[in-house]
Amino acid sequence: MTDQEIAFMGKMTAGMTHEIKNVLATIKESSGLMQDFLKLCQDGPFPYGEKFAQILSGIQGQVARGVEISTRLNRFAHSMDEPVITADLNEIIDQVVFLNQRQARLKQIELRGIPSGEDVRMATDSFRLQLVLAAGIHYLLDRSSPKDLIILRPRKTEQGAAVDIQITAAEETAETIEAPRPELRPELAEIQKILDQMQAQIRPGNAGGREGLILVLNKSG
Amino acid sequence: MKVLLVDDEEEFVNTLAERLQLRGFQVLTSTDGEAALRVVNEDGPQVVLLDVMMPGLGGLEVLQQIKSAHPNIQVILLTGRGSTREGIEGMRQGAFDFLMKPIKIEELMEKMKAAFELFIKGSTEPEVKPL
Repeated sequence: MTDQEIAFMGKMTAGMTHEIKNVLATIKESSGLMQDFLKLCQDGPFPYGEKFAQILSGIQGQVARGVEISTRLNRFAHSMDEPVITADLNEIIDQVVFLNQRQARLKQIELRGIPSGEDVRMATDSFRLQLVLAAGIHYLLDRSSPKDLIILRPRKTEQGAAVDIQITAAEETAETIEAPRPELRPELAEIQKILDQMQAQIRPGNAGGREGLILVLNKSG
Repeated sequence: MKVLLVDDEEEFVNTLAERLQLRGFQVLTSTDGEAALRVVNEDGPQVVLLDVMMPGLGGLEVLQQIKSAHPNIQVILLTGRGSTREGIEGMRQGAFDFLMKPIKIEELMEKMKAAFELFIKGSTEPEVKPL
């Protein structure tokens, strides 16, 4: 996709997520108003008061869930605004992990971002970075078993930054050991063009014998 | 406290207005920026709850005009975007504070109370004129 096409997609998606939030805001206020009236008549004869309160609480819980999803989607859409921004890799990983939780959950795999202890920022194409990270996650999801844990962890490097994406046993966060392998599988070769545009590389890396990937981002990209 | 609620989502405005009225506020409403400015000039609210993204005159433009003509009126922005950027920009332009939609009524009440206190403080302090 060209930058212009990406920006168009972003603009449309951002507009729609804004509208969805308006809908959710109105539902929230409507259910809140019902709660207000329920409180006003709690001393009177209203046999289903408790049931109503329970249902309204459920509606508000679902509204909160919808707001979180639309807020994340809105943020994702705005990542298409500018081709290159100074991105906080800890934030980007948090975002990508959230957006891909459903795919992981369907395979009964836990997906977790582990923020770097330091500020990892660099000028990059945040939309394409999210695309590449998601491709890495999906690649490893296909190679994971139920109850596995996939972690994403950014780190600073001399050239810029790197993101380790690893399948690991729960609670195991061993340091990445780069293991040279002949080449990546065809699934990831599909994103090679995007990696070239970003002047980035993705290569195999493992931790504790489990499969993993390392996304290397260069400052110039 | 007299509060003006401005948002182009009519159902949202009506519902939130009713919730605020139940809590004892006098609520004026408006669903566009131009009408909001008329209400500000004619009815003199102390606090304005203002949606940022509206057709026609946008929230930040309305904010500028309110603060220019009535610097003591306190404006709380309501923003539906996923980021805090618009809210921070609004505060730089004189907004008292901002809230992300959907709002939490308790949080809104706290901010309205603080905004009203600032309004009262501004109304009682003598204007310092340059020599």
